[in-house]
Amino acid sequence: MIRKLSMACALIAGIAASAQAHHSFVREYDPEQVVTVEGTVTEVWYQNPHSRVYFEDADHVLWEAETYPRNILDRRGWKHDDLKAGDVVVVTGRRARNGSPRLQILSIVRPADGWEGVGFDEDSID
Amino acid sequence: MPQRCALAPVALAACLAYAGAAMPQERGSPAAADVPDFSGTWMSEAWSTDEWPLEPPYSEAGRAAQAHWAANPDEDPSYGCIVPLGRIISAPLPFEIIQQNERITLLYEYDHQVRRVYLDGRGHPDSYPTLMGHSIGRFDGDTLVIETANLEAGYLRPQGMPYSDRLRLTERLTLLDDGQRMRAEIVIDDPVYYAKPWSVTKHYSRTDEQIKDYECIVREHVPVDGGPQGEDR
Repeated sequence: MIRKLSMACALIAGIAASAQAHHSFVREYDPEQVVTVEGTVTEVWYQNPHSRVYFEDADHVLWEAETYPRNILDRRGWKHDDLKAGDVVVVTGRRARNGSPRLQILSIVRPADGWEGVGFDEDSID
Repeated sequence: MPQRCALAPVALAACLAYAGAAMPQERGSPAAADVPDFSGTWMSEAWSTDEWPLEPPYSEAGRAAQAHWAANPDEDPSYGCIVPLGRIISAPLPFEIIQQNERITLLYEYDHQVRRVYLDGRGHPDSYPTLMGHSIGRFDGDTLVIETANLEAGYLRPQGMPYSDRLRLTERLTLLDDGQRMRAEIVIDDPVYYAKPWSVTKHYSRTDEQIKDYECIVREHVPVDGGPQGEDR
């Protein structure tokens, strides 16, 4: 019951405002709203059709950040075990048009060792 | 033993002849030797957005279908990991071509899709439409012409671009630069959603990339007890 209640609260708060698993980025995210957020990784979904990184910022907001499918990440140098829960990352991305804490990743960096992931080009409309 | 040694060259020649005949490319007939060899693994040179127009010549019905797509994201089958041919050919993922006399087979990394392009002169069957349709091909000089019909209605791009089940897709593939590159002129002829046929030109390069498995997973994120950890649903 507590779990159901808290899930409902989370949904209302928009924390779980997860969109379609595979979708058009330009429809979901606003190229005019680019923000940079720092936080601690909670989950890494290294998968197709889109990969995701969940991270929590200093205000305990859980962000969902999306990038390319793992087939493309692997080819471009982001290996499956590069990023782990607990890592601190700085993510720059386009915000979701609906205002939920979701990002289309333009860049993702782990300051501790300078590791850089793979995001979208700034002029991408995919 | 001398007898066996004397037979060795004959046996070797026979083996070589057999191996040649059994080669997957079947370069036996003069006709096959005269056509370019498209065999190998290819990668798109550009991200798809660099090549496709933002505003194709929609018909009135096409414009309405595009608006419907924009308003009803759940109806796009690729969002459920069901990826139609239109999306397959526009994606920046590699594919392998296996070339035989009577058939060319395209093996796409994207969603494990396979196309068999029949070169034996057959036509399209009177059959129901499918995701990848039915493809037949012929050589026009050095250009491989692939015509595809029997396609389910779908979308060409992550930005929509709907097509109907009356789409006739023609791909004209030509090798460039001593066979190291390939040009594809893709003609979209769909009298329902487009006012006139239109085309896209794509370029590919041979690649040493290994074709990867492509497992497409649809799942939603569910926080547990309001905390950051999620679970699959």
